[in-house]
Amino acid sequence: MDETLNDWFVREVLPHEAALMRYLSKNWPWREDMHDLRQETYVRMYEAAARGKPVHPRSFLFSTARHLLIDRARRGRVVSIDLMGDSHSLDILVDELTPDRQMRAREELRLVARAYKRLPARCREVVWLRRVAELSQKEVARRLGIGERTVETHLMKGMKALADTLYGGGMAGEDHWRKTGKENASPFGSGHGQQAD
Amino acid sequence: MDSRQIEDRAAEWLVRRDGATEAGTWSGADQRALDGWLAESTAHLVAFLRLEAAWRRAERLKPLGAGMPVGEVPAPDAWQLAPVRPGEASGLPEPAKASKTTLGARWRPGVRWALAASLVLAVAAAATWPLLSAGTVYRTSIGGLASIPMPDGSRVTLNSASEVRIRMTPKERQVFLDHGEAYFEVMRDPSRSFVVVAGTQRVVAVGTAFSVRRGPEGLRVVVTEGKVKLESATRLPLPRVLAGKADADPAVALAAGSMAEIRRGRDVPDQRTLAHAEDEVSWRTGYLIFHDTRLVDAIEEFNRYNVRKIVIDDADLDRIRLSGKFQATEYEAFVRLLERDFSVRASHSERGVSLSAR
Repeated sequence: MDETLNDWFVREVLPHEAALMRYLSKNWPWREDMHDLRQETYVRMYEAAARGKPVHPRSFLFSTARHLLIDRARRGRVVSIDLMGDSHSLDILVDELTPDRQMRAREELRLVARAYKRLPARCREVVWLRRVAELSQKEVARRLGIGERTVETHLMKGMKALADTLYGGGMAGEDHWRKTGKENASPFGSGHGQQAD
Repeated sequence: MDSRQIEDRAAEWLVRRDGATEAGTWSGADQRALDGWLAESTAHLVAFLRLEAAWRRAERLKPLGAGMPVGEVPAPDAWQLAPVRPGEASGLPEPAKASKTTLGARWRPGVRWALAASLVLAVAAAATWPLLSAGTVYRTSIGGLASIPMPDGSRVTLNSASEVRIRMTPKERQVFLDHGEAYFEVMRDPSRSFVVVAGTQRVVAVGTAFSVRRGPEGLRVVVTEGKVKLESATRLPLPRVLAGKADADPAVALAAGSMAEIRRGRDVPDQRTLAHAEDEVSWRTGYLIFHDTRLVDAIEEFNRYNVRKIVIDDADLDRIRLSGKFQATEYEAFVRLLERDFSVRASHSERGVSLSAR
């Protein structure tokens, strides 16, 4: 495993997830595909970066996503989606202002707090006790009067939910912030990207 | 396997590693198994990286958690982050390294971890700064050591197994010592005093360096620089004979190079000057310094820094007196020295070491 590539990925690519999700949901109407599209975009991005790190990760991420959607559309012979409609967003090289470290750190803390608040009640208790109060999994189980297996299940759920908020801005691929009028199921089934004829 | 199933598997792996690492059971074979799964497909790897990175960020809340009683989870709206006032010390509390010490962890003498004290936890939903702020709690576990810079430039150094709550108000800078021991280096600020509150006792400083230890036996204050005043919420005026001076002020003044002890159940401090005041706070550098100290006292001191305790099983050992400098967390070296130089026999068990005469 290439440690610097992994670190690079976490540092340079994941922070753009919320924007990526907005792009994907604007340009692909089937929300059940969002999860798979996100992950597949990451896979392609990672593999490309392994061959050579892109100079502008964010715009490379978007063009990767666009190509992925084109591939999927072609495979499913979907013709009525205008995938080019949002191409201007690809040219946005976000020259992000780097607010000073203090501001960013404070923002991060607020974001993490929000992520915790969003967890379902029981899940939040488990994650809090484990992560913030630093009790062992066994102690969490004992304190809450539940089984260790249940603690593990809640932790798994919490990890996924935290990632969805901290990176996706709350868009799990379950949420779809904009209805596109296409309520019928994706021709691909849920997230498989197979041929649909 | 679809992307959701892969993510579930990644979460399973992460939870397993998290739990096993904490319990000390994550083996080389486990790591290889995980590496194997990750190498199987880039999809596995990116799913895992993502969850792992978010899980790591979730640690950021630890300093806030320190302000909450362990085991109590604040309801979503019961707490908020209070805005940091302009002009306060910069920096964010790093996850409180002080409270994350694995059992038996060593601190290297001279190493200090910094914690920033600029974030204040507001307790009620409608809180506005600074009305309802309760302060920030810092806690060390056994063998831990933490150096906490305060917004006014003062510094609090927490010893092993200690807990303080720091609260800044416009009138006073307050540190509540819950238990354990802390060393205070106080910045001069004429506009407000610096007070260490330990139960009913208040140690008031003007511009000094001193330590306060609070334990079951009572309170102990050592002043290394400047002067402090001991005030009590309940003390009657101090008898002159104990104070050694004609002073009817219920507050007791303590100068550099002296120590006061207020034993539990008594209200009046015993004072004495110390030949080696600095040695009493040598723990800040990771060392314990003994001057002709009785073995039982030396051992009591060592036990504060180590999870595995030393006990004396033999009254014959009471005669032993020690002088010297010892690394606080190296109790094994200390025991070996006793065996070698004092004809002590040590028998080791899971819980600790038991000493008897050879």
